[in-house]
This record gives sequence, structure tokens and C-alpha cells, in this order.
Amino acid sequence: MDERERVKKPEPERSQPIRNWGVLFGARSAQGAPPAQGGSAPPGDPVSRGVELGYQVIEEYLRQGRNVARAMGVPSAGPAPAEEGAQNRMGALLRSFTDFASLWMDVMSRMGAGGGGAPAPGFTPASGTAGPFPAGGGPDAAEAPKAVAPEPPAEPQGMAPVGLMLDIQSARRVEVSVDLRPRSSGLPLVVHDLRAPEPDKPRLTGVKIESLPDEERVCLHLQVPEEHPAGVYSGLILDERTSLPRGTLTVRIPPR
Amino acid sequence: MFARSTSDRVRERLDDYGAAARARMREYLRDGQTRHAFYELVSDYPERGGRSLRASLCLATARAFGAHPTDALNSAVALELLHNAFLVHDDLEDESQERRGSPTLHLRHGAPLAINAGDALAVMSLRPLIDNVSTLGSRLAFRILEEAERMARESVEGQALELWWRQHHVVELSEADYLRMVLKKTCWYTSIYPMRVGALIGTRDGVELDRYLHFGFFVGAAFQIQDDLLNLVGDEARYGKELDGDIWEGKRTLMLIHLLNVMKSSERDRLCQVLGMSRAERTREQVRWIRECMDRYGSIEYARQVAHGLAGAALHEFLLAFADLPDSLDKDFLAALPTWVIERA
Repeated sequence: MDERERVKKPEPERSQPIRNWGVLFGARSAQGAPPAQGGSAPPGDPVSRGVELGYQVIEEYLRQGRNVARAMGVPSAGPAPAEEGAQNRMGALLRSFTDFASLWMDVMSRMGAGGGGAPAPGFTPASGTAGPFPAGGGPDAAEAPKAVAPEPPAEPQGMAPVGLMLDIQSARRVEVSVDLRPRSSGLPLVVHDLRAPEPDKPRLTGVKIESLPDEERVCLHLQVPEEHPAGVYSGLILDERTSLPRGTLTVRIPPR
Repeated sequence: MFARSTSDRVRERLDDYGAAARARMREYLRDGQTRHAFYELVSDYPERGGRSLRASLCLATARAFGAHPTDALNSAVALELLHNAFLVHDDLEDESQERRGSPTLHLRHGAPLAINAGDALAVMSLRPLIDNVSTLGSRLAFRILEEAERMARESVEGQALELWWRQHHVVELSEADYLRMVLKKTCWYTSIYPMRVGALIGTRDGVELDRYLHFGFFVGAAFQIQDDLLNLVGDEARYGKELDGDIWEGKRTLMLIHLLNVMKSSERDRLCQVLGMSRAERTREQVRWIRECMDRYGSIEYARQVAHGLAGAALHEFLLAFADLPDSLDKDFLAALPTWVIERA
């Protein structure tokens, strides 16, 4: 038998679940807990004690934040976690980004069209009432300040989404996600090279987007080389004349 | 000719920043119909005045970094609206009776309308952040929205912690527990977030924001302790809330935590018994006794000295975080804040 003592799991200090406030948000319990850093008890005089405790608390808070960031795979928070897990998380983050990007574009689009939510200061609200709350512009209403800048040209609302044709050359399975603003089919569009969040991965180049105004749709041409590493690649779709974004393109190449 | 004191200088700047923020806030609150009862209710707390400290910090930081005076106005207004939303709900949760020198909203109009007015203020605070898209661009507006979400989350977690202590009669607390709670409940939305957003706007998202955590934390913590001290020793008319209200509410202030940790065990047992009661059950005599114990055990002086220490640390952190900025009235305001926080009455 091996001379070394068998490694054993230490006996837990508790015999039932911890139900105290100290773990309410994942923080450690204060009851009987040691100082957070340095291990030394704070000095006795209130001024020094307050300062030292203050530094302990804020440093502990920052350390917790760094640990959470590291667990999420944020690159600046320390060594990267396992390749697969990181890729999935970054994929999720990128998907969230494209979701938010399309949301913002939607918001911008509606703002441009003069529709959407409540008016900002500087814009005269529409008149009329809906339910118990006035929409503004009634006889009692204070005079709204005049707009300082002309409103952008309005786009018609309620338009059908842009038709999309895909021309993909790939020996591997790929997932393609396109977010494109309405009325983009008549515009000269370009797509940036698609980039992965990991800086060492090569870009997906040669992506083209072709406008087919007569058919009110666009055609996306994409080539994925056989040896291209798995990952999530994304890029902006721009109006070539104005360089303003019209949408985003995301391509996911799953691991083999 | 007399040199103006630090407090005078800070007050002047607060007046300037506050006037700009309040004027813009009224535009959002008015919503085209000044006399409608709903908007009167929602405007009640904002119209009672206040220092606009949070808005001022946001505006001052942005301007210290070279932003145009109006660049941070929407974000500052959003913060003030959310602050007022928090106040309405906090007053209800704390069963407070006065706010800014008048009865609290729930005492005037009842809890259901007060809760709804608080909800409305919180919702209204989103509009200026959305309007940032047109003034700052969608990317920066989204970054500010991210910061706002984090700030709101930290704040409600801190508030939950304090309410939990009271509801579950937690008395085994240390000063570090108090500072952890204050970091979340007060510092994030009073000082950390306003400075982070000001820096975001002033640098167009070009600076590491954790740089401002330390300064924001120390200023905010000193501010909260001083605020709690003023509840015990301040001038009620200037303070705007009932004196000793925190004792009535059983609020876990630094003074109360100090008292719990230093008093004789027989007195401690009595104090714990009082803290286990609801506000309605506590008597004036019990509150007076707790207040007298705080004097006798030096809890008030202790807290005052801790606040001074934290303000000193804030001054030190200011030099580290803002040293590379050019001199300006805005930078001067930020530098003077730690002193003002503990000098204010």
C-alpha cells in the first residue's frame, strides 16, 4: 500500500444550508469573517480604521468584479478559459451585440420617421388624447421650444423586410445571420471583412452584397475556405455613398 | 477681501449645475401638459428642490474632460429622475415622514399613488438616455445605458441588503459590512456612476472607468455617513427630514453599528429588543434612550472621525485619478467635494 496518506475531502464546517444575509448577493458573511486583504486587523483609531476598512472593501469589490469577468472569459481579466467555452460565450456576446445593433437601428429609424415614443424636449408633441393621459399640445400646454435642427427625412413606416438571396460556397456547415434596415435594396452596399473576437483568427474576406433594386432584395455572396478556423465572425453592412451602417452580418462556423 | 470657503465654492457650482439640470428635467416632466394631476404628482419631489449633487458630478466630470456643457445634460437629468424615483420608494420602505421639508409622497397621497409615481419617474429616466442617441451617437449612448443598468442593479441590491438587515433584525454587523452596503446602496448612484458617465462622455469612451471607483466610493461613503450624522445632530429645517428618523426606522447606520459593538451587554440586549420592534411599536422614550447612548458611548464622534478619514482618502484618490486633467472650475469642484461632504450642515 502506498505510504502517502490518502487525500480526503475536508469535513465541512457547516451541517446545514447557509441562510444569512451575507450571501444574499454572493458576498461572504461578515460574521466572524477575517479581514478581506492583508490579514491584519485594522488599527484602533477611527480615522485610520475607516480608511483601512474602506480600502479593504473597495479592493475586495474590485477583486470580485475581476473574478466574475475572468469567469465570463473577458480577455483583459486574466488567462482565457477553455477554447470551446470561450467561443460559445463570445458567440453569445456577439449575437447579443447584433441584436442590440438591430434594435438601435430600429430606434433610429423610428426616430427619423418621427414615430416612436414620447417627444424629447425641443420637439413639439402631437396633439390629441389617448386614455387618461393627454398626448400633449392641448390648450393648457406650455409652448414647446422649437427644434434646433431640422428633422431627418422621414421613411415610410410598416415596410416589408428586405428580401435576401444567399450565394454561399462552403464545404462546411455555416450559420448566417443578417440584420438589414428596410429600403436597403436600392442602395450600393458594401460589407466589411468579417472578424472574429479573437485577434489571432484570420478574417473572412471577399464577402460581397449585391443590390437587386428591381427585385427589391439583396444577394449576399460568401465563400468560406475549407481550412478556416471555427468561430463567430461579424462585420458591418454599410451604405457605400454615406458610409453609414445599414446592418450587420454574422457568420458562425461551428467546430468540426 | 475674503477668500471664499470650500463650501461656498462648491455651493456656487452646485447652484449652476443644478439650475441647468432642473431646467432640462422640467421639460421632460412637463410632457406638454403642466396642469395634469398625474404630472403634478410625478413632479412633486423634483420640484421640492435638492442639491442636484449627482447631476452636478456628472456634468462637472464631463466638462473637466473637455465635453461641451450640454453633452452630459441628458444623462444628468436621467440620473436625477431616477434619484427621485428611488426617494419616493425609499420613503415608503423606510416609513419616512418628511422629505425636503414636507410630508413624504405616500403620506400626502397614499401608498398606491406614491408607488406609481416612483415607477413613473423611473420609467421617465429612460427617455433622456434614449435621447442621447441623437446627441452622442448610438455607440456612446449604449455604453451609458449599460452603465445605468449596472448602477441601478447595484443600488437596488444595496437597498435590499439594508432592508434585509432591518426586516430580519440583523445586529451582528461590522463597519466593513456597513461600508459594503453603502458602496452598493449609495456610492454607485451618488458618485461612482455620475463620474463614470461624465468620463465616458468627456473622453468619448476613451478612458478606463475603474480609475474612478476609489474616489467615488470614498466620497460617497463619507457623504452617506455625514447624511446619517445630520439626521441626529443637524438642523431639521435645513436637513429636510425629521431628526432621529433613522433611529425610529431602525436604520443600520455606522453610529448604531458602533453602539451595538461597544455597549454593555445588558444595554445591548435592550437595544436589540427595541430594534426587533416595528416603527409603530417604538416609543419616543426608547428613541431618546438610543440617541443618549450614542452620545455616551462616543458613537457619533466615532462616525464623524471615520467620515473624516474617508474624505481624506477621497482627496488622495482624487489626485491619482484626475491629476492629468487641466485646471478648470469643474476640476476644482471635484477636488473640493470631499471637504464639502463633511463640512456641509
